[in-house]
Parts: sequence; structure tokens; C-alpha cells
Amino acid sequence: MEMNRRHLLALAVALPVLAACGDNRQQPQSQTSSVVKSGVPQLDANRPGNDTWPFEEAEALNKSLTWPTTNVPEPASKVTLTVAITSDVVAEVRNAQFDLFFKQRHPNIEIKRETSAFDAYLTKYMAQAAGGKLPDVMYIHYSWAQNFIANDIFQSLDDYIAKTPAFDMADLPQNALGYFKDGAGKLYGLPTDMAPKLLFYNKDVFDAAGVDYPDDSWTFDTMLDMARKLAKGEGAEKVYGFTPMPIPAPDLSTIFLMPYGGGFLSQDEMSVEINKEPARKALGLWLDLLRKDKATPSLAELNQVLEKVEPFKIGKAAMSIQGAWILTELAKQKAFKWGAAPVPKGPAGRFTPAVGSALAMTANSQQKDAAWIYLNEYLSSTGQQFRRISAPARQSAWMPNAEALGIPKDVIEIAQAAMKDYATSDGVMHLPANKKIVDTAKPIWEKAMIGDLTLDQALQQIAEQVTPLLAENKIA
Amino acid sequence: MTAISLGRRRRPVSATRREARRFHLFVSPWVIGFVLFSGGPILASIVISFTKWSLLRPPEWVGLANYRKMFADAEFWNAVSNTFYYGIGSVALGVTFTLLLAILLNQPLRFQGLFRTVFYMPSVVAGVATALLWLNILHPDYGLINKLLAMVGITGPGWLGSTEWAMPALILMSVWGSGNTIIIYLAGLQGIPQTLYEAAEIDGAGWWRRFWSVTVPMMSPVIFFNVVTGFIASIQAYTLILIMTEGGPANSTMVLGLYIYQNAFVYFDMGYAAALSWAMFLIVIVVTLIQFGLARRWVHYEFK
Repeated sequence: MEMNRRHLLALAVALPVLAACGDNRQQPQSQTSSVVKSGVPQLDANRPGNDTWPFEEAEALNKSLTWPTTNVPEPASKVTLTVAITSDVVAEVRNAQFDLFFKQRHPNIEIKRETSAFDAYLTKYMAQAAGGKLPDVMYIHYSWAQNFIANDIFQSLDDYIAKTPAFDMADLPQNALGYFKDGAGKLYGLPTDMAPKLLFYNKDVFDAAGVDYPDDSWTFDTMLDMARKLAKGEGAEKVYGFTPMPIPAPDLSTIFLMPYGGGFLSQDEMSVEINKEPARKALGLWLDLLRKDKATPSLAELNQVLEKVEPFKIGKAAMSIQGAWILTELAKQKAFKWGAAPVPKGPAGRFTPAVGSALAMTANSQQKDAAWIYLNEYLSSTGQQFRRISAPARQSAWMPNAEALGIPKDVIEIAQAAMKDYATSDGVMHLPANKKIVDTAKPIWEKAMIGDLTLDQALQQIAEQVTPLLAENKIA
Repeated sequence: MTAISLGRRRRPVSATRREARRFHLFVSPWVIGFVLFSGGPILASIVISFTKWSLLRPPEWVGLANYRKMFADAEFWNAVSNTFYYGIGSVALGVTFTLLLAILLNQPLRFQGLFRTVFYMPSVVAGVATALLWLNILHPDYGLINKLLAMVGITGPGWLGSTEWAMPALILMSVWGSGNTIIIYLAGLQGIPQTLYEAAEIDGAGWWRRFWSVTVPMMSPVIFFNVVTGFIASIQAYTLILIMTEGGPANSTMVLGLYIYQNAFVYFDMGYAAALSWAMFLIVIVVTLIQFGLARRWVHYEFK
């Protein structure tokens, strides 16, 4: 009896140990990838629609639009095209509508759409790449593209663009195509959404303080002064002057350091510059705003806003620099009045990152012609107007989409001017080590935010720990 | 005749052999599944740990480079330290709290079934929902804990936003959802012969003496089981930590499981992640062997 019980206990312990799995109380119970899968209501394949995107509206819009053509031949027989995208449950309905009408225009192209949540997408398709089985068309984020391009995963699109005279390259933001090009200048991805960051402000907070709204004359110094002035209250009642506090991020340089003439890394992303002037000075201003003036959320406050909602979005901050893709959300909310202005300028000028995502064709696709026919329509101005996205890569789609989404015209003009005049991919980290660099620098910077490290100590540690990672940025 | 001759050939099956057969029958589905679906990946991970593999290109043999990198990696040692902090804290708190709770739930009270159900319910709440719930409970301004502390004049800490308090907050949260442990304790408590308590009472033992000299020794195999499996689980814990703190602030909650996840599925450095996984395996083995060694001193088996 004794031996049996002990054996049972030993087995119960030893097998989980061997499997390195123990009991599964802490194991994942819900993968983010299932959000889309389980969250999407069953759609009528012949009439997909919901309250946001009624089928009748989609059908009427589809008929009213002129769809682009290409000299690439239609498949002679039925082919199935696999398209991998990220989407939320609402936009997924629009994608279903797009695919339905696309199939009506191209009866020989069957679309098999694979939709994943953004957080799960890269893991899923990196695993598929390892297995040698990728879809024909893939969504690709600007920060991942170079890794895929350097490993020959994508097909160059230049020949296909040449076969499509009506494909208007000039309508795409030229300052943001670099994310999707290789060293020889070949283009592997075409942007679907691409937006600048802007200075958003809460008009109610400005009105209550009796001060003027931000405009294009503002410098970073003006903005920091105003942030100090507008911060008020304590605890749950607190309204911050500016949020969020700059932290190491791919676009930290472009927004906060380049206006002072500094950068996190050099332009080729092969050396660290954050610990040198003038980057050091620029970051010091923000640490003062946090630690001396308490006008921007502390680390505790930043992490602890209910369910990690950005304070500006719930009316708890006077100003915030955000990507233009929040326009849809701001346009819908009624809690406070808001406006947008150009990102402030600094002594070295005004910069904003142009960032977004693209679609690419995989090099091993057996349906490249069909893939191009799909890309040509999906990425055309017509396609982006049909999809009603708030930050389309096609500049000609901004205004019609804004009108349909209820976004004020003056804000769109500011966004379009930013894209045309000062948005750039310069300084935006996009080479393969970018995620590791950010994750290495962030905890050190957080120690400076808490006060455990001085500014110089933090920047020195960042430089020391990030430098060895830069070798991973060497790509063929 | 045939039946008799067959009967002669078949030897009588002893109770021990019958029990052994049943045991193997019942564990076989799990063992077969383990060998087929986990055994292969486990063996493959040994090989992967000696390679540089980013998934987009074939693995490249690098020998012991990943292990050398691991020993020189300050973040690895920080993660190991945080893992032990979390493991010791969550096991000590969890084992103690759930044993006391199980003793209370074992009392013949009205609505006993209701209480047992209520305490088990958090175990069936999905991990993400639990994380969101605790993000709100631990909120410095709006959270229930700090509100309660404020009622007695204490200013609560920043919890998940504080480098000092983030790990204690996660340890506190780990007790939530210990329904399975409580059930194991309840089963153990109900297996203690009533006669032992009666004999102790006759000898004049009070409630504390009965608890310390009867309940604890008789429950020691069950406590040992929960300590061992709880520690193994806590060494690998990362899901809720990923959702709640992502290892922050300032890497104060970066545990080994999360560090492996980050290297494997954020940086796609599969070789290094595999080496880290084998380090975790080694830690689990060593800690478990130490626990088994120490068990001889305090675990009491009813039948010797």
C-alpha cells in the first residue's frame, strides 16, 4: 500500500516535471487569436452586414465606385487566393463585404480570408513561415517588414505595378515607402493605412483655463509650459497636462528628439545616440515635467488607468500626441470636445512619423497574378474608400472617408498637410532588432521615471545595453 | 472441460496486480498523449537550444552559444530571482490560505455547499477576465483594496505601477482561483479518521493541539503534493503576468516563463528560448528533488 501511494505521488509529480508543465492553473486560457474567431458573429455569406456596415450601404457604395483595372490577366480557371489580415470584429464585416464584391467582379478568384487579432498575427505567420506554408497575400506592419524582406519571404511588386498603368504611385505617401523596400530599392509591400501623429487637445480643458488652443506656431517649449499650466486635481480627479510621457518606442526620435536635432539611434540604426546631446536635453525636459511638475502620468498612473485606457481618450488629459487613426474613436465619443493641431516644432524643425501597414505578396505564392489583381483593388483609392478606414494610405481617400465617418474636415486638412509637409520615416526604428531595442531600453527608462536612476545613468545604461543588439540590424 | 483447463492455466490475479493494472489503464490516455504530443517537441527543443533559429531561415548550429549567452545575461538572472520570489511567495501564501479555507469549508455548517461553490467559482473564470478584474481591484485610486485601506487611514501603494509592490500584488492575486487546491485539501481532510480526533479529545487536546498534532501530520502528504505542484506551476507562471504588467515596471515582474515567451514569440529567438526552457526545466528538477529530500523530515504517511 505504501509503495503504491508513493509511486502514484511520484508519478503525479514526475510527469509534470518532465513535461515542464506542472498543473495548469496559470496556463493560457484564452489566446488573443481567438478573439476574432469567436467574436465574429456568423455572417450571411451572400449578404454580410451589421449595424455599423449594413449590407445595403455596402452594395450601393460598391456600385457607385469605379474599380481599377490591370493588364495582369485574369486566371483562366478557378483559383483560391489565401489572404491573411488583422482585423477587429467590426472591420471584419467590411472585409467580408469587400471580398464578396471582389468575387463578383472576378468569378475565377475565390478568396480564403484568414483573420487574426493583431497581437496574435505575427506569431501565427512566423510559425507558418517556419513550416514553409504562408498565404498568398499577407498583412505586414512597418516594423516587421524588413525582417521578412531580408529573408526573401516576399515578392517584389515593381513588375506588377509596371503592368498596371492606372496604379497611381503618386497618391501613396512617398515618405513612408522605405519601410517596404530592400537595399536595392525594390518595393515588396504597398501601404494600406499610413498616418501621421498629431497634437490632439481637449477643448473643454483649454476653455476652462481660458487659454488659446494649440496651433502651428507652437513649439515643444510652448507645449510643455501649457502642460504645466493645465495639469490639475489629485487622484481620481486628476487631469494631466500631457499624456503619455515619452518612453523608448520606435518613433520616439521622430516625435520628441529630432525637433531638437537628436535621435535614439543613428539614421542607419547601427549606433546609439540617445545618451548624447541634444537627445539628452530633450528627454531631461520630459523627466522634469514628470518628476518636478507632475503634469504627465507617472509610471504607476500610466499603468493603472482603468483597463489601461489612454487618459486623453477619457477626458483626463489636456493634450496628447497620437496617431491619426484615433480619429474614428474621437469622432464617435461625446464626453468632451476635442481638436487637433500640428505636432509642435523644435529648434531643429517639425517632424512627425508616417507609420502604418501594408499588404505584401509572398514569394512562394502559386497565384501571383490573382494576388496582384486583389492587391490592385484592395489598395486602390477606390478600395480604401470602400473600406472607410480613417487613415488611408491613399491620400485621395482621406476626405471622402472622413466625411463618411463624421471626422471634422479641418482635422483631416491638418493630417494631410502633415503627411505632405513634414511626416517622415526618418528616425522611425524599423530594422529587425527594433522590438528588442525598445524592450531593453524601456525598463531602464522606467527606472529614471521612478527616480531610481538619474537621467545620465539611465541614458548611459541604455546605450551600453542597446549597443550589442544593433548587430542584429545588419541585413543583407 | 475446456473451462476447467483454462482456469487451471490462468493464475489467480492478486489484489495488488489488479490495482496495478487499473492504475496503468487509467493513466495510459495521459501518458500516451504525453509521449505522442509533448515528447517529440521536448526532444526537439534540446536540439533547437544548440541552434540560432529565427523561424524565417533554417536553424544554424551554434553549439553552446545560447547557454553561454544565458549565463552572461543579466536579465536571465533577474528573471530567475523574480521567479523564486513569486514562487516562494505564491506557494507559501496559497498553501496556507487554502488549507485554512478548506478547514473552514469542512465544518458542518449551513449552506456548506454554497460556500464551497462560491470559493471554487474563481477557478473557472477565464485568465484574461481574472486579470482585468484584478487590474481594477488593485487600481491605486479606484481599486477596492486601496479603498478599504483608506477606510482605516492607510494610503495604499501603487501596486502594479510600483517596482516594490507589483510582485506582492501578483502573489496576492495568485491565491485567487485556488479552488482546485481547496478541493484536494477537502478530500484529504475528509480522509482523516474521526477516531484520531476523538482519541486526542480524550487526551485533553484543545483545538490547536488537534490541528497541529492530528490535522497537519495527517494532511502532510496532501500539503506536500500541493507544495510541489504549486511550485512547479508558479515557476512557469506567465500568462496573467503578461496581461497585467508585461514584466514591468522596470522588469520587476519579469519572471522566467515570461522571459522565455518574450524570446520565443516576440523576438523569435527560438534557440535562446529553448536554452532558457531547459534552464527552467533544470530549476524545476532541482527544486523538486530538494522538496522530496526535505519531505522525509516532515511528511507523514499513515501506512508505513
